[in-house]
Amino acid sequence: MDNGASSYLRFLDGDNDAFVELVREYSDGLTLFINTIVGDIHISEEAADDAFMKLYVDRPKYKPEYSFKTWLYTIGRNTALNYLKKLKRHRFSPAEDLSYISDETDIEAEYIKGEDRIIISRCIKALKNEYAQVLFLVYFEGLTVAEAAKVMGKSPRQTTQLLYCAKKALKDEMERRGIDGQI
Amino acid sequence: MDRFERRAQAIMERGDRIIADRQKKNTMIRRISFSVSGLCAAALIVIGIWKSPALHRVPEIPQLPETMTTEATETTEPATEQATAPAEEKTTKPKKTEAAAEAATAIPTTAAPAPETVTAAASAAPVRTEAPQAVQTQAAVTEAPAAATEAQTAAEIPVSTAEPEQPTEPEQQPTEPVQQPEEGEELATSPPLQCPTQAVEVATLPATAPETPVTAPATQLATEAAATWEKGTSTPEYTGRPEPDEYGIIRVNGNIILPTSEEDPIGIKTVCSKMGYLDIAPSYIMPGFELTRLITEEQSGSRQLVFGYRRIRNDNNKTNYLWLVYKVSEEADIPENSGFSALADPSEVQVTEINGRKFRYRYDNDSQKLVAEHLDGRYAMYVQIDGLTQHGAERILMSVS
Repeated sequence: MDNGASSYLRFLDGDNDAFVELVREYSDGLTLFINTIVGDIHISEEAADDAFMKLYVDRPKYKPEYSFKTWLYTIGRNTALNYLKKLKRHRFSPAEDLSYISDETDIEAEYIKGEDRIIISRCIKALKNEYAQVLFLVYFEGLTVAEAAKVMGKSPRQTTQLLYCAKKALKDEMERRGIDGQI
Repeated sequence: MDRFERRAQAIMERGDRIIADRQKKNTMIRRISFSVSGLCAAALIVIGIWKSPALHRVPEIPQLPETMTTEATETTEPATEQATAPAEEKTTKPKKTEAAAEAATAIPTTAAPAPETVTAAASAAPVRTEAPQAVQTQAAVTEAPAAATEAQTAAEIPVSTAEPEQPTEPEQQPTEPVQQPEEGEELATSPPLQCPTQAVEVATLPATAPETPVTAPATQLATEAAATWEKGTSTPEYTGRPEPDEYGIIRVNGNIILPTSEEDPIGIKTVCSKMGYLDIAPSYIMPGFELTRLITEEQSGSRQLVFGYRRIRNDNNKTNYLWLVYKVSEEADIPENSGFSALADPSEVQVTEINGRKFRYRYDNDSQKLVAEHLDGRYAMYVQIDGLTQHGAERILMSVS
Protein backbone atom coordinates (compact mmCIF):
# COMPACT_ATOMS: atom_id res chain seq x y z
CA MET A 1 0.00 0.00 0.00
CA ASP A 2 1.11 3.55 -0.61
CA ASN A 3 -0.02 7.08 0.11
CA GLY A 4 0.13 6.50 3.86
CA ALA A 5 -2.28 3.62 4.00
CA SER A 6 0.39 1.31 5.33
CA SER A 7 1.37 3.82 7.97
CA TYR A 8 -2.22 4.17 9.07
CA LEU A 9 -2.64 0.40 9.28
CA ARG A 10 0.48 0.17 11.41
CA PHE A 11 -0.93 2.90 13.61
CA LEU A 12 -4.12 0.90 14.00
CA ASP A 13 -1.99 -2.00 15.16
CA GLY A 14 -0.59 0.17 17.95
CA ASP A 15 2.48 1.78 16.39
CA ASN A 16 2.47 5.45 17.39
CA ASP A 17 5.52 6.15 15.23
CA ALA A 18 3.36 5.44 12.22
CA PHE A 19 1.10 8.25 13.36
CA VAL A 20 4.08 10.60 13.46
CA GLU A 21 4.86 9.55 9.91
CA LEU A 22 1.32 10.41 8.84
CA VAL A 23 1.58 13.84 10.43
CA ARG A 24 4.92 14.45 8.81
CA GLU A 25 3.66 13.41 5.39
CA TYR A 26 0.20 14.98 5.28
CA SER A 27 -0.10 17.75 7.83
CA ASP A 28 1.17 20.61 5.67
CA GLY A 29 -0.83 19.63 2.60
CA LEU A 30 -3.95 19.14 4.67
CA THR A 31 -3.41 22.48 6.36
CA LEU A 32 -3.06 24.30 3.08
CA PHE A 33 -6.07 22.52 1.66
CA ILE A 34 -8.16 23.48 4.68
CA ASN A 35 -6.80 26.99 4.30
CA THR A 36 -8.58 27.18 0.96
CA ILE A 37 -11.81 26.50 2.88
CA VAL A 38 -11.47 28.62 5.97
CA GLY A 39 -9.11 31.27 4.66
CA ASP A 40 -7.00 31.47 7.83
CA ILE A 41 -3.79 29.52 8.14
CA HIS A 42 -3.95 29.32 11.93
CA ILE A 43 -7.49 28.05 11.98
CA SER A 44 -6.51 25.70 9.20
CA GLU A 45 -3.75 24.25 11.34
CA GLU A 46 -6.19 23.69 14.21
CA ALA A 47 -8.67 22.07 11.88
CA ALA A 48 -5.95 19.85 10.44
CA ASP A 49 -4.98 18.87 13.96
CA ASP A 50 -8.58 18.02 14.68
CA ALA A 51 -8.66 15.83 11.60
CA PHE A 52 -5.60 13.97 12.84
CA MET A 53 -7.18 13.86 16.27
CA LYS A 54 -10.11 12.00 14.78
CA LEU A 55 -7.75 9.45 13.38
CA TYR A 56 -5.97 9.09 16.69
CA VAL A 57 -9.02 8.93 18.96
CA ASP A 58 -11.77 7.35 16.90
CA ARG A 59 -9.47 5.20 14.73
CA PRO A 60 -11.93 5.00 11.85
CA LYS A 61 -11.77 2.06 9.51
CA TYR A 62 -9.96 2.77 6.25
CA LYS A 63 -11.45 1.45 3.04
CA PRO A 64 -8.70 0.53 0.56
CA GLU A 65 -11.02 1.28 -2.39
CA TYR A 66 -10.06 4.95 -2.02
CA SER A 67 -6.60 6.37 -1.82
CA PHE A 68 -5.60 7.29 1.70
CA LYS A 69 -4.96 10.90 0.68
CA THR A 70 -8.46 11.27 -0.71
CA TRP A 71 -9.91 9.71 2.41
CA LEU A 72 -7.83 11.92 4.71
CA TYR A 73 -8.65 15.08 2.78
CA THR A 74 -12.34 14.20 2.92
CA ILE A 75 -12.05 13.92 6.67
CA GLY A 76 -10.14 17.20 6.67
CA ARG A 77 -12.80 18.95 4.66
CA ASN A 78 -15.61 17.76 6.92
CA THR A 79 -13.59 18.73 9.94
CA ALA A 80 -12.96 22.17 8.48
CA LEU A 81 -16.64 22.71 7.84
CA ASN A 82 -17.51 21.59 11.39
CA TYR A 83 -14.73 23.77 12.67
CA LEU A 84 -16.16 26.76 10.90
CA LYS A 85 -19.52 26.12 12.55
CA LYS A 86 -17.85 25.75 15.90
CA LEU A 87 -15.86 28.92 15.41
CA LYS A 88 -19.08 30.84 14.91
CA ARG A 89 -19.98 30.04 18.53
CA HIS A 90 -16.65 30.41 20.24
CA ARG A 91 -13.04 29.88 19.67
CA PHE A 92 -10.85 28.34 22.28
CA SER A 93 -7.49 26.70 22.01
CA PRO A 94 -4.98 26.04 24.78
CA ALA A 95 -1.92 28.22 24.42
CA GLU A 96 0.45 25.30 24.72
CA ASP A 97 -1.27 23.55 21.84
CA LEU A 98 -0.53 26.52 19.59
CA SER A 99 3.19 26.47 20.16
CA TYR A 100 3.84 24.57 16.98
CA ILE A 101 1.72 26.85 14.80
CA SER A 102 3.93 28.25 12.12
CA ASP A 103 3.64 31.21 9.88
CA GLU A 104 1.75 30.72 6.65
CA THR A 105 4.72 31.76 4.62
CA ASP A 106 6.90 29.14 6.21
CA ILE A 107 4.47 26.37 5.51
CA GLU A 108 3.94 27.54 1.98
CA ALA A 109 7.62 27.84 1.34
CA GLU A 110 8.33 24.40 2.72
CA TYR A 111 5.43 22.62 1.10
CA ILE A 112 5.22 24.34 -2.27
CA LYS A 113 8.56 24.11 -3.86
CA GLY A 114 9.45 26.56 -6.66
CA GLU A 115 8.88 30.26 -7.06
CA ASP A 116 6.31 29.92 -9.80
CA ARG A 117 4.13 27.62 -7.75
CA ILE A 118 4.30 29.98 -4.82
CA ILE A 119 3.13 32.83 -7.02
CA ILE A 120 0.32 30.68 -8.36
CA SER A 121 -0.60 29.68 -4.84
CA ARG A 122 -0.89 33.31 -3.80
CA CYS A 123 -3.04 34.05 -6.83
CA ILE A 124 -5.26 31.10 -5.95
CA LYS A 125 -5.96 32.64 -2.55
CA ALA A 126 -7.61 35.56 -4.26
CA LEU A 127 -10.11 33.28 -5.98
CA LYS A 128 -13.34 31.92 -4.67
CA ASN A 129 -13.00 29.12 -2.14
CA GLU A 130 -14.29 26.43 -4.49
CA TYR A 131 -11.91 27.51 -7.24
CA ALA A 132 -9.06 27.55 -4.83
CA GLN A 133 -9.95 24.10 -3.49
CA VAL A 134 -10.17 22.40 -6.84
CA LEU A 135 -7.03 24.06 -8.15
CA PHE A 136 -5.12 23.16 -4.99
CA LEU A 137 -6.25 19.54 -5.07
CA VAL A 138 -5.54 19.03 -8.74
CA TYR A 139 -2.39 21.10 -9.26
CA PHE A 140 -0.69 21.02 -5.88
CA GLU A 141 -1.84 17.72 -4.40
CA GLY A 142 -1.85 15.86 -7.70
CA LEU A 143 -5.28 14.35 -7.28
CA THR A 144 -7.32 13.31 -10.25
CA VAL A 145 -10.56 15.07 -11.04
CA ALA A 146 -12.51 12.10 -9.70
CA GLU A 147 -10.54 12.13 -6.44
CA ALA A 148 -10.93 15.87 -6.15
CA ALA A 149 -14.66 15.45 -6.73
CA LYS A 150 -14.77 12.86 -3.97
CA VAL A 151 -12.99 15.16 -1.55
CA MET A 152 -15.17 18.13 -2.39
CA GLY A 153 -18.38 16.14 -2.28
CA LYS A 154 -19.25 16.88 -5.87
CA SER A 155 -19.75 14.84 -8.98
CA PRO A 156 -16.84 14.52 -11.44
CA ARG A 157 -18.80 16.46 -14.05
CA GLN A 158 -19.35 19.31 -11.62
CA THR A 159 -15.72 19.19 -10.64
CA THR A 160 -14.58 19.32 -14.25
CA GLN A 161 -16.77 22.34 -14.86
CA LEU A 162 -15.53 23.90 -11.66
CA LEU A 163 -11.93 23.27 -12.63
CA TYR A 164 -12.46 24.95 -15.98
CA CYS A 165 -13.94 28.02 -14.39
CA ALA A 166 -11.22 28.05 -11.78
CA LYS A 167 -8.46 28.00 -14.35
CA LYS A 168 -10.09 30.86 -16.20
CA ALA A 169 -10.45 32.86 -13.01
CA LEU A 170 -6.82 32.13 -12.09
CA LYS A 171 -5.66 33.32 -15.50
CA ASP A 172 -7.57 36.56 -15.10
CA GLU A 173 -6.10 37.05 -11.65
CA MET A 174 -2.59 36.47 -12.87
CA GLU A 175 -3.08 38.88 -15.78
CA ARG A 176 -4.42 41.44 -13.36
CA ARG A 177 -1.27 41.06 -11.32
CA GLY A 178 0.90 41.47 -14.45
CA ILE A 179 1.97 37.84 -14.46
CA ASP A 180 1.90 35.68 -17.50
CA GLY A 181 -1.26 33.67 -17.43
CA GLN A 182 0.36 30.47 -18.70
CA ILE A 183 -0.30 27.76 -16.23
CA MET B 1 12.49 16.63 17.46
CA ASP B 2 11.29 18.48 14.42
CA ARG B 3 8.06 20.44 14.23
CA PHE B 4 6.14 17.49 12.81
CA GLU B 5 7.08 15.33 15.77
CA ARG B 6 6.11 18.10 18.18
CA ARG B 7 2.85 18.50 16.34
CA ALA B 8 2.14 14.75 16.41
CA GLN B 9 3.13 14.61 20.09
CA ALA B 10 0.73 17.41 20.92
CA ILE B 11 -2.05 15.69 18.99
CA MET B 12 -1.39 12.39 20.75
CA GLU B 13 -1.36 14.03 24.18
CA ARG B 14 -4.68 15.70 23.51
CA GLY B 15 -5.99 12.43 22.10
CA ASP B 16 -4.89 10.51 25.20
CA ARG B 17 -6.68 13.02 27.41
CA ILE B 18 -9.81 12.66 25.35
CA ILE B 19 -9.61 8.87 25.46
CA ALA B 20 -9.12 8.93 29.25
CA ASP B 21 -12.11 11.24 29.63
CA ARG B 22 -14.20 8.97 27.44
CA GLN B 23 -13.26 5.93 29.48
CA LYS B 24 -14.07 7.76 32.68
CA LYS B 25 -17.37 8.89 31.23
CA ASN B 26 -18.18 5.38 30.02
CA THR B 27 -17.43 3.95 33.45
CA MET B 28 -19.68 6.57 35.03
CA ILE B 29 -22.46 5.92 32.54
CA ARG B 30 -22.20 2.17 33.11
CA ARG B 31 -22.47 2.56 36.87
CA ILE B 32 -25.33 5.00 36.63
CA SER B 33 -27.18 2.84 34.13
CA PHE B 34 -26.86 -0.18 36.41
CA SER B 35 -28.18 1.81 39.34
CA VAL B 36 -31.01 3.37 37.37
CA SER B 37 -32.01 0.09 35.79
CA GLY B 38 -32.07 -1.50 39.24
CA LEU B 39 -34.27 1.28 40.54
CA CYS B 40 -36.54 0.98 37.52
CA ALA B 41 -36.82 -2.76 38.02
CA ALA B 42 -37.69 -2.25 41.66
CA ALA B 43 -40.24 0.39 40.72
CA LEU B 44 -41.77 -1.92 38.15
CA ILE B 45 -42.02 -4.71 40.69
CA VAL B 46 -43.63 -2.39 43.22
CA ILE B 47 -46.07 -1.08 40.62
CA GLY B 48 -46.82 -4.61 39.52
CA ILE B 49 -47.55 -5.70 43.05
CA TRP B 50 -49.55 -2.55 43.68
CA LYS B 51 -51.65 -3.11 40.59
CA SER B 52 -52.08 -6.79 41.32
CA PRO B 53 -55.71 -7.82 41.62
CA ALA B 54 -54.87 -9.62 44.82
CA LEU B 55 -54.44 -6.30 46.58
CA HIS B 56 -57.80 -5.03 45.44
CA ARG B 57 -59.73 -7.79 47.08
CA VAL B 58 -61.84 -6.60 49.90
CA PRO B 59 -60.38 -8.02 53.08
CA GLU B 60 -62.54 -10.52 54.80
CA ILE B 61 -64.11 -9.28 57.95
CA PRO B 62 -62.79 -11.55 60.63
CA GLN B 63 -65.65 -13.58 61.92
CA LEU B 64 -65.47 -14.24 65.56
CA PRO B 65 -66.35 -17.70 66.69
CA GLU B 66 -69.91 -17.87 67.68
CA THR B 67 -70.29 -17.14 71.31
CA MET B 68 -73.30 -17.77 73.34
CA THR B 69 -73.16 -15.48 76.30
CA THR B 70 -75.72 -15.67 78.99
CA GLU B 71 -76.21 -12.21 80.31
CA ALA B 72 -77.84 -11.48 83.59
CA THR B 73 -80.40 -9.29 81.92
CA GLU B 74 -81.43 -12.07 79.61
CA THR B 75 -82.61 -14.17 82.51
CA THR B 76 -84.98 -11.58 83.82
CA GLU B 77 -87.81 -12.74 81.71
CA PRO B 78 -90.77 -13.96 83.73
CA ALA B 79 -90.82 -17.61 84.48
CA THR B 80 -93.51 -19.69 82.98
CA GLU B 81 -95.34 -22.61 84.42
CA GLN B 82 -93.65 -25.05 82.11
CA ALA B 83 -91.04 -27.28 83.58
CA THR B 84 -88.40 -26.09 81.15
CA ALA B 85 -89.27 -22.43 81.30
CA PRO B 86 -86.47 -20.06 82.33
CA ALA B 87 -86.65 -18.82 85.85
CA GLU B 88 -85.95 -15.24 86.66
CA GLU B 89 -82.54 -14.91 88.04
CA LYS B 90 -83.27 -12.04 90.28
CA THR B 91 -86.17 -13.75 91.94
CA THR B 92 -84.79 -17.22 91.77
CA LYS B 93 -81.58 -16.56 93.55
CA PRO B 94 -83.02 -15.49 96.88
CA LYS B 95 -85.57 -18.24 96.70
CA LYS B 96 -82.94 -20.77 95.97
CA THR B 97 -80.89 -19.40 98.78
CA GLU B 98 -83.74 -19.92 101.13
CA ALA B 99 -84.33 -23.32 99.76
CA ALA B 100 -80.70 -24.12 100.14
CA ALA B 101 -80.69 -22.93 103.66
CA GLU B 102 -83.63 -25.08 104.42
CA ALA B 103 -82.08 -27.97 102.71
CA ALA B 104 -78.87 -27.43 104.61
CA THR B 105 -80.77 -27.44 107.82
CA ALA B 106 -82.66 -30.53 107.01
CA ILE B 107 -79.77 -32.33 105.46
CA PRO B 108 -76.37 -31.55 106.97
CA THR B 109 -74.55 -33.66 104.45
CA THR B 110 -75.19 -31.08 101.79
CA ALA B 111 -73.13 -28.50 103.57
CA ALA B 112 -70.00 -29.52 101.73
CA PRO B 113 -69.94 -28.33 98.17
CA ALA B 114 -70.31 -31.09 95.67
CA PRO B 115 -69.05 -31.09 92.12
CA GLU B 116 -72.55 -30.69 90.85
CA THR B 117 -72.83 -27.56 92.89
CA VAL B 118 -69.96 -26.06 91.04
CA THR B 119 -71.43 -26.94 87.74
CA ALA B 120 -74.61 -25.24 88.75
CA ALA B 121 -72.61 -22.18 89.59
CA ALA B 122 -71.05 -22.33 86.23
CA SER B 123 -74.45 -22.45 84.72
CA ALA B 124 -75.42 -19.30 86.50
CA ALA B 125 -72.31 -17.58 85.23
CA PRO B 126 -71.99 -16.58 81.58
CA VAL B 127 -71.61 -19.71 79.56
CA ARG B 128 -69.88 -19.80 76.23
CA THR B 129 -70.31 -22.53 73.77
CA GLU B 130 -69.04 -22.63 70.23
CA ALA B 131 -71.46 -24.29 67.96
CA PRO B 132 -75.11 -24.50 67.23
CA GLN B 133 -74.83 -28.27 67.38
CA ALA B 134 -74.15 -27.95 71.02
CA VAL B 135 -77.31 -25.99 71.40
CA GLN B 136 -79.31 -28.69 69.79
CA THR B 137 -77.78 -31.25 72.06
CA GLN B 138 -78.57 -29.18 75.05
CA ALA B 139 -82.12 -28.85 73.99
CA ALA B 140 -82.39 -32.56 73.66
CA VAL B 141 -81.02 -33.12 77.08
CA THR B 142 -83.31 -30.55 78.48
CA GLU B 143 -86.32 -32.50 77.51
CA ALA B 144 -85.53 -35.27 79.97
CA PRO B 145 -84.53 -33.66 83.21
CA ALA B 146 -83.63 -35.85 86.08
CA ALA B 147 -85.21 -35.39 89.41
CA ALA B 148 -81.91 -35.69 91.11
CA THR B 149 -80.47 -32.91 89.06
CA GLU B 150 -83.31 -30.69 89.97
CA ALA B 151 -82.78 -31.40 93.60
CA GLN B 152 -79.10 -30.74 93.37
CA THR B 153 -79.63 -27.53 91.60
CA ALA B 154 -82.04 -26.30 94.17
CA ALA B 155 -79.86 -27.32 97.06
CA GLU B 156 -76.64 -25.93 95.71
CA ILE B 157 -77.68 -22.51 94.56
CA PRO B 158 -76.08 -20.75 97.56
CA VAL B 159 -72.69 -21.83 96.43
CA SER B 160 -73.32 -20.53 92.99
CA THR B 161 -74.43 -17.16 94.25
CA ALA B 162 -71.45 -16.89 96.49
CA GLU B 163 -68.81 -17.44 93.81
CA PRO B 164 -70.38 -17.41 90.44
CA GLU B 165 -67.26 -16.42 88.52
CA GLN B 166 -65.05 -19.31 89.48
CA PRO B 167 -66.21 -22.57 88.11
CA THR B 168 -64.26 -25.41 89.53
CA GLU B 169 -63.34 -28.36 87.45
CA PRO B 170 -65.17 -31.48 88.51
CA GLU B 171 -62.10 -33.70 88.65
CA GLN B 172 -60.51 -31.42 91.21
CA GLN B 173 -63.36 -31.68 93.58
CA PRO B 174 -63.98 -34.57 95.87
CA THR B 175 -66.92 -36.45 94.64
CA GLU B 176 -69.25 -36.98 97.46
CA PRO B 177 -72.63 -38.50 97.18
CA VAL B 178 -75.22 -35.94 97.83
CA GLN B 179 -78.06 -36.94 99.94
CA GLN B 180 -81.19 -35.95 98.24
CA PRO B 181 -84.07 -34.59 100.20
CA GLU B 182 -87.26 -36.41 99.86
CA GLU B 183 -89.75 -35.16 97.43
CA GLY B 184 -92.32 -34.36 99.98
CA GLU B 185 -90.04 -32.21 102.00
CA GLU B 186 -88.76 -30.34 99.00
CA LEU B 187 -92.17 -29.53 97.79
CA ALA B 188 -93.20 -28.33 101.17
CA THR B 189 -90.19 -26.29 102.10
CA SER B 190 -88.69 -25.03 98.90
CA PRO B 191 -90.95 -23.15 96.52
CA PRO B 192 -88.37 -22.87 93.77
CA LEU B 193 -88.52 -26.57 93.31
CA GLN B 194 -91.86 -26.12 91.75
CA CYS B 195 -90.10 -24.35 88.96
CA PRO B 196 -86.60 -25.68 89.10
CA THR B 197 -83.80 -24.45 86.96
CA GLN B 198 -82.64 -27.36 84.98
CA ALA B 199 -79.00 -27.87 84.51
CA VAL B 200 -77.91 -29.69 81.45
CA GLU B 201 -74.53 -30.74 80.35
CA VAL B 202 -73.24 -29.24 77.14
CA ALA B 203 -71.92 -31.77 74.76
CA THR B 204 -68.29 -31.51 73.86
CA LEU B 205 -67.54 -30.01 70.49
CA PRO B 206 -65.59 -31.83 67.86
CA ALA B 207 -62.97 -29.20 67.24
CA THR B 208 -62.53 -26.93 70.20
CA ALA B 209 -64.71 -28.35 72.88
CA PRO B 210 -63.18 -28.33 76.32
CA GLU B 211 -62.84 -31.58 78.12
CA THR B 212 -64.52 -30.17 81.12
CA PRO B 213 -68.25 -30.33 80.69
CA VAL B 214 -69.97 -27.04 81.11
CA THR B 215 -73.48 -26.83 82.28
CA ALA B 216 -75.91 -24.13 81.50
CA PRO B 217 -79.53 -23.49 82.04
CA ALA B 218 -81.36 -25.17 79.25
CA THR B 219 -83.77 -22.34 78.85
CA GLN B 220 -81.03 -19.84 78.32
CA LEU B 221 -79.32 -22.01 75.78
CA ALA B 222 -82.55 -22.62 73.98
CA THR B 223 -83.15 -18.91 73.85
CA GLU B 224 -79.70 -18.35 72.43
CA ALA B 225 -80.14 -21.07 69.88
CA ALA B 226 -83.34 -19.58 68.61
CA ALA B 227 -81.90 -16.12 68.52
CA THR B 228 -78.69 -17.01 66.73
CA TRP B 229 -79.81 -15.41 63.48
CA GLU B 230 -81.71 -12.66 65.15
CA LYS B 231 -78.84 -11.03 66.91
CA GLY B 232 -77.48 -9.48 63.80
CA THR B 233 -74.25 -11.41 63.99
CA SER B 234 -72.75 -13.10 61.03
CA THR B 235 -72.66 -16.82 60.90
CA PRO B 236 -69.51 -18.16 62.47
CA GLU B 237 -66.75 -19.63 60.44
CA TYR B 238 -65.98 -23.21 61.14
CA THR B 239 -62.47 -24.38 61.21
CA GLY B 240 -63.38 -28.02 61.48
CA ARG B 241 -65.22 -30.27 59.10
CA PRO B 242 -67.86 -28.40 57.13
CA GLU B 243 -71.35 -29.12 58.25
CA PRO B 244 -74.40 -27.26 57.15
CA ASP B 245 -76.19 -25.23 59.72
CA GLU B 246 -79.90 -25.39 60.35
CA TYR B 247 -80.53 -23.47 57.13
CA GLY B 248 -78.31 -25.69 55.06
CA ILE B 249 -75.54 -23.12 54.77
CA ILE B 250 -71.95 -24.33 54.84
CA ARG B 251 -69.12 -22.03 55.72
CA VAL B 252 -65.64 -23.28 55.06
CA ASN B 253 -62.60 -21.04 55.39
CA GLY B 254 -64.48 -17.91 54.47
CA ASN B 255 -66.44 -19.50 51.65
CA ILE B 256 -70.19 -19.58 51.92
CA ILE B 257 -72.01 -22.42 50.21
CA LEU B 258 -75.76 -22.21 49.92
CA PRO B 259 -78.00 -25.25 49.65
CA THR B 260 -78.81 -25.65 45.98
CA SER B 261 -81.26 -27.78 44.11
CA GLU B 262 -82.60 -28.12 40.61
CA GLU B 263 -85.34 -25.64 41.32
CA ASP B 264 -82.96 -23.25 43.03
CA PRO B 265 -79.52 -23.56 41.44
CA ILE B 266 -78.13 -20.59 43.32
CA GLY B 267 -79.60 -21.39 46.73
CA ILE B 268 -80.82 -17.97 47.73
CA LYS B 269 -84.48 -18.85 47.50
CA THR B 270 -84.05 -21.89 49.70
CA VAL B 271 -82.35 -19.89 52.42
CA CYS B 272 -84.86 -17.07 52.18
CA SER B 273 -87.73 -19.51 52.39
CA LYS B 274 -86.31 -21.18 55.48
CA MET B 275 -85.61 -17.89 57.17
CA GLY B 276 -88.95 -16.34 56.38
CA TYR B 277 -88.12 -13.86 53.68
CA LEU B 278 -89.40 -13.41 50.15
CA ASP B 279 -88.34 -16.49 48.26
CA ILE B 280 -87.41 -14.76 45.05
CA ALA B 281 -83.93 -14.34 43.66
CA PRO B 282 -82.10 -13.89 40.38
CA SER B 283 -81.87 -17.12 38.50
CA TYR B 284 -78.88 -15.79 36.58
CA ILE B 285 -75.74 -14.41 38.11
CA MET B 286 -72.92 -14.13 35.61
CA PRO B 287 -69.83 -16.28 36.15
CA GLY B 288 -67.18 -14.93 38.42
CA PHE B 289 -69.43 -13.71 41.19
CA GLU B 290 -68.67 -15.29 44.54
CA LEU B 291 -70.78 -15.14 47.64
CA THR B 292 -68.62 -13.41 50.21
CA ARG B 293 -71.14 -11.98 52.64
CA LEU B 294 -74.17 -13.46 54.31
CA ILE B 295 -75.37 -11.22 57.06
CA THR B 296 -78.49 -11.12 59.15
CA GLU B 297 -79.45 -7.88 60.75
CA GLU B 298 -82.19 -7.10 63.18
CA GLN B 299 -83.49 -3.67 63.86
CA SER B 300 -86.42 -2.43 65.80
CA GLY B 301 -89.45 -3.98 64.20
CA SER B 302 -87.68 -5.46 61.22
CA ARG B 303 -85.00 -7.85 60.25
CA GLN B 304 -83.11 -8.31 57.05
CA LEU B 305 -80.91 -10.78 55.29
CA VAL B 306 -78.05 -9.60 53.10
CA PHE B 307 -76.31 -11.60 50.40
CA GLY B 308 -73.12 -10.00 49.13
CA TYR B 309 -71.56 -11.23 45.89
CA ARG B 310 -68.28 -10.05 44.53
CA ARG B 311 -66.48 -10.48 41.22
CA ILE B 312 -62.90 -9.45 40.50
CA ARG B 313 -62.41 -8.75 36.83
CA ASN B 314 -59.08 -9.52 35.27
CA ASP B 315 -59.56 -7.30 32.26
CA ASN B 316 -59.65 -3.98 34.08
CA ASN B 317 -58.84 -4.91 37.67
CA LYS B 318 -62.22 -3.64 38.77
CA THR B 319 -64.49 -5.31 41.21
CA ASN B 320 -68.19 -5.84 40.68
CA TYR B 321 -70.58 -6.19 43.58
CA LEU B 322 -74.05 -7.60 43.77
CA TRP B 323 -76.04 -7.02 46.90
CA LEU B 324 -79.36 -8.74 47.54
CA VAL B 325 -81.15 -7.51 50.62
CA TYR B 326 -84.31 -9.14 51.92
CA LYS B 327 -86.26 -7.32 54.55
CA VAL B 328 -89.22 -8.22 56.71
CA SER B 329 -91.05 -5.71 58.79
CA GLU B 330 -92.79 -7.13 61.82
CA GLU B 331 -95.18 -4.26 62.21
CA ALA B 332 -96.35 -2.43 59.12
CA ASP B 333 -95.94 -2.44 55.38
CA ILE B 334 -92.63 -1.23 54.07
CA PRO B 335 -92.99 2.15 52.32
CA GLU B 336 -91.51 2.97 48.94
CA ASN B 337 -88.03 4.42 48.62
CA SER B 338 -87.12 3.03 52.01
CA GLY B 339 -84.13 1.28 50.60
CA PHE B 340 -82.48 3.69 48.18
CA SER B 341 -82.65 7.44 48.05
CA ALA B 342 -81.82 7.20 44.34
CA LEU B 343 -85.33 5.91 43.74
CA ALA B 344 -86.95 8.96 45.27
CA ASP B 345 -87.12 10.85 41.97
CA PRO B 346 -89.90 9.22 39.95
CA SER B 347 -88.72 10.78 36.71
CA GLU B 348 -85.54 8.75 36.74
CA VAL B 349 -87.02 5.53 38.00
CA GLN B 350 -88.16 2.78 35.72
CA VAL B 351 -90.98 0.51 36.72
CA THR B 352 -91.11 -2.96 35.31
CA GLU B 353 -92.79 -6.22 36.02
CA ILE B 354 -90.53 -9.20 36.32
CA ASN B 355 -92.27 -12.56 36.48
CA GLY B 356 -95.37 -10.99 37.88
CA ARG B 357 -93.59 -8.85 40.45
CA LYS B 358 -93.32 -5.11 40.26
CA PHE B 359 -89.82 -3.72 40.45
CA ARG B 360 -88.74 -0.10 40.56
CA TYR B 361 -85.17 0.42 39.49
CA ARG B 362 -82.71 2.97 38.24
CA TYR B 363 -79.34 2.64 36.51
CA ASP B 364 -76.79 5.43 36.86
CA ASN B 365 -74.36 5.52 33.98
CA ASP B 366 -71.82 7.66 35.77
CA SER B 367 -71.35 5.39 38.72
CA GLN B 368 -72.39 2.24 36.85
CA LYS B 369 -74.78 1.37 39.63
CA LEU B 370 -78.17 -0.24 39.44
CA VAL B 371 -80.52 -0.07 42.39
CA ALA B 372 -83.91 -1.78 42.48
CA GLU B 373 -86.58 -2.53 45.00
CA HIS B 374 -89.57 -4.78 45.15
CA LEU B 375 -92.15 -4.33 47.87
CA ASP B 376 -94.73 -6.85 48.90
CA GLY B 377 -96.45 -5.66 52.02
CA ARG B 378 -94.24 -6.32 54.97
CA TYR B 379 -91.68 -7.95 52.74
CA ALA B 380 -89.16 -6.21 50.56
CA MET B 381 -86.30 -7.13 48.28
CA TYR B 382 -83.55 -4.70 47.35
CA VAL B 383 -80.95 -5.17 44.64
CA GLN B 384 -77.79 -3.18 44.14
CA ILE B 385 -75.31 -3.95 41.39
CA ASP B 386 -72.06 -2.02 41.13
CA GLY B 387 -69.64 -1.84 38.24
CA LEU B 388 -71.61 -3.59 35.54
CA THR B 389 -72.93 -2.14 32.32
CA GLN B 390 -76.61 -1.40 32.12
CA HIS B 391 -77.16 -4.43 29.95
CA GLY B 392 -75.35 -6.73 32.35
CA ALA B 393 -77.03 -5.34 35.42
CA GLU B 394 -80.49 -5.48 33.88
CA ARG B 395 -79.87 -9.03 32.77
CA ILE B 396 -79.38 -10.07 36.39
CA LEU B 397 -82.38 -8.07 37.54
CA MET B 398 -84.70 -9.41 34.86
CA SER B 399 -83.89 -12.97 35.86
CA VAL B 400 -85.54 -12.57 39.24
CA SER B 401 -88.15 -15.21 39.68
